[in-house]
Amino acid sequence: MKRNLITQIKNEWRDNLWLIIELMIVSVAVWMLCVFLNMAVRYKFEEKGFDTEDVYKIAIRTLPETSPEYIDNGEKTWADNMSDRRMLINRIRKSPYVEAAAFSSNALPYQFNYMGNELNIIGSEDSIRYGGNVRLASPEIVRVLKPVSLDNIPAEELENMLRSNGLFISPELRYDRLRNTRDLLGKKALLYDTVTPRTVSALIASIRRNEYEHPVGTILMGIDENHDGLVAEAGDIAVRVKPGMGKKFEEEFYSTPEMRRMRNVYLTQLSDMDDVRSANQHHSDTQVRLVCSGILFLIVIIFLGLLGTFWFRIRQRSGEIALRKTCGATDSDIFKRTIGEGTLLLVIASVPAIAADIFLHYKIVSSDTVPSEYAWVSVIAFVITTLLMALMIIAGIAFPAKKAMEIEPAIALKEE
Amino acid sequence: MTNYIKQIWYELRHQPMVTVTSILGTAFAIFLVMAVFMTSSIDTVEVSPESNRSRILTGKNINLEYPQGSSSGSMSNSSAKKLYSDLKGIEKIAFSSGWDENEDVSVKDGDCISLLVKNVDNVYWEIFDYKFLSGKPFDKATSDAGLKKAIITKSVSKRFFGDADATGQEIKISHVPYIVQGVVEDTSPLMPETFAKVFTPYQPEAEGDLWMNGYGGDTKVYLLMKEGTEYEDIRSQVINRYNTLNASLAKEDSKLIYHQAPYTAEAVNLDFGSNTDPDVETPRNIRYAVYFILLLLPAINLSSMTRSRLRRRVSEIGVRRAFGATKSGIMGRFLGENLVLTLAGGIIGLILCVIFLALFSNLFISYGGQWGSADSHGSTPTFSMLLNFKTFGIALVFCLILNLLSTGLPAWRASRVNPAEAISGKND
Repeated sequence: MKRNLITQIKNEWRDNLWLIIELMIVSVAVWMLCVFLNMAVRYKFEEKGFDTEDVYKIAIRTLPETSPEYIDNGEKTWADNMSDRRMLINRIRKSPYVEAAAFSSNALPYQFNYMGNELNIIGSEDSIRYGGNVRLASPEIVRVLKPVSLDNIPAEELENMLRSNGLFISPELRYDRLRNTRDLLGKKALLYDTVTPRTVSALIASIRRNEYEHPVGTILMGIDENHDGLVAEAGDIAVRVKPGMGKKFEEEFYSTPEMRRMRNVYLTQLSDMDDVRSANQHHSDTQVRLVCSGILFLIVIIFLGLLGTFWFRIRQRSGEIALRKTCGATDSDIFKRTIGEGTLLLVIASVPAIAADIFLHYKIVSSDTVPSEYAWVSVIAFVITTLLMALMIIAGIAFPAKKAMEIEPAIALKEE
Repeated sequence: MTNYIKQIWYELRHQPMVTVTSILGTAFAIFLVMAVFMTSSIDTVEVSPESNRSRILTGKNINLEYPQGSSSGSMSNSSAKKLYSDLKGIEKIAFSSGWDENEDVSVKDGDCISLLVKNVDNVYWEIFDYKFLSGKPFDKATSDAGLKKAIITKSVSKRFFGDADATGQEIKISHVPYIVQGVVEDTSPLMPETFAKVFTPYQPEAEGDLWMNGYGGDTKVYLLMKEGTEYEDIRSQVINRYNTLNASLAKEDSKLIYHQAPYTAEAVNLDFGSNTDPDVETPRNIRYAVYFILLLLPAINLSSMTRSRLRRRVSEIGVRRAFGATKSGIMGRFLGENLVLTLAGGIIGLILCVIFLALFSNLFISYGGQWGSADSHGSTPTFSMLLNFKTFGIALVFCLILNLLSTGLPAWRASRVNPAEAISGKND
């Protein structure tokens, strides 16, 4: 039976060669796309380290000195401006729709900033510095962004830690694999300045820049709102509104001028973090959609190619099939034989496809696309590809095969 | 000729299933391949205000390496002058802000709207052909003095002043009053170099805003090449400028890192930072591979249909050959016949593609790239960006390639049948 099948495939080598080429190209292309897809979404469903539902972002701006509205109070102007920033955040906190508000400097996710800085552990023998993305925010950020404590420390306690000069780090901050970040807990470190020692108080999950990004070392440091220098660092105010109160807060914000302006300081660009998220992740989201569409296109092409080829082939071979039936072949034998022909074509096409996959694997595994620790993704992609192709072969050939089963030997042979 | 067309029409009607499937298959292939072509062309297409796009180069960013590390970002006005002023082959040079930001814009004490503001000099309006609905561009005096004048787009004018002419009216930008000097047609966010809602005169950075030892600031330049000037000639001159600056920086153990500036329209819209080079080659190669796959795979499928169509006509081919038709004549005939199908499918595919791109493409394409603005991500290309003579020409080329790939081999084989065997039915 198998020998017959191989002979038959050889006899129709011209048509089959094109099918094999098509199967091979599609197999390699689908494999590549599966690898990209796998790499793109591998962190999507992992802990992202924050919660931005019901969170808003407001930009803090200061009038330019050229504005006629600018209030110049000499040397005191800057301090006045910081005091006005505090005044404005407190007005927001008093809103009946607001749950919590915090000054933020790079604390909010869904932006591409990376404020790299090093944590200098005081008294460390080898003066190792731990670099990470520094996120500065008022202690209330714990209630706004809900960073995730890896030791399940309650939010209230986390907030108190930030109030008492504590800072949080994420495990990715580790200098190398031999050192455990947990060992840094309780140690004193210098970060923002060289005079204020801060305590490494808690381990948190990395606050990622978006849901597709791999976790990076994060340092979350509190902004003491009485410290003008730290308040000046803030570029935004992060606001958590009460559940479902977003629209009400927006209305209040825009209809209450004193909520937006205090002398030289004004608040602007109130943005729902859902919108910020959409804009930030648009590129990754569209890429994922595009890759999925590419896979869909390729398997549909294979489906149509097999359907078309086998449709005409069965029509052409109706006499031969009728003869088989008269010689005792059952409908099931005819169906299995047709499917077997397609499967054998896939097996033949898989040989050069695997060779191409292996070549490409070594080409891209060393690149940024697939880091070496994710080499297994290639194997998973190959399994998914083969399954998809097999499924398409069965789907594409099933209909013509069913037609073959329905051939009436007497009529077909008479026509012959 | 009439007979020829009649016969094609008869053949197409005789096998309606195969005809419809072939046309739809071709339409699908052309739809996809043109979608890739058109979306990648958006970065280089020449429409107002970037009608001279192929001659415009952008100079931006600077990367200084020094003993303690390195810094990179927007360049200063003085760096821009040192690197790009008075280059041979450059007709005009315009200066603008290096980093455009949203600012609060309002009229009197009305609501503030956050709008993208771009600072540009007078030459900018000579390089880019914005359509002025009223007023005029900044002149040299306005630009040099940094007068509080603004040019706004039609949508901003309508938002603040309704149908009245905004020219001469006062608006506030970040709470500073400006007089509107002109109103221009809105531009597409998909052309980020010229997209903004408000334009104000560019001024060199104040001393306090300089950084990176004076190399860093907030300036970008646009260079208009003279007709016939080669990009490489300009680039080599800029490399020489870098070398000259580096010769003096060597004394301080510092060095400017060159990152392929100035950038062509194809390069400037790629995702690259101030300390990296744009990679034009990789996306180009990926595009070629995608064209290859999108044309070859449908062609293989379509060729099985062509073969089946030709099989039915073996005896006709035999008769034609017996009456003196040449092999190339037979082949040309079938290629011609199939071209009718391919062109019909091509037209359908192109129309569907333009409609799809103009309505839904931002679900699949990240216009503006990873760091693109929310405006660019939310936009779709306009019809004028998608449809031009080049688009039609390329669509025709793709149709011809598809036709050749799907029909060439079956037609070649059909043309080589033995007339006697074909007529007797042995060559089926």
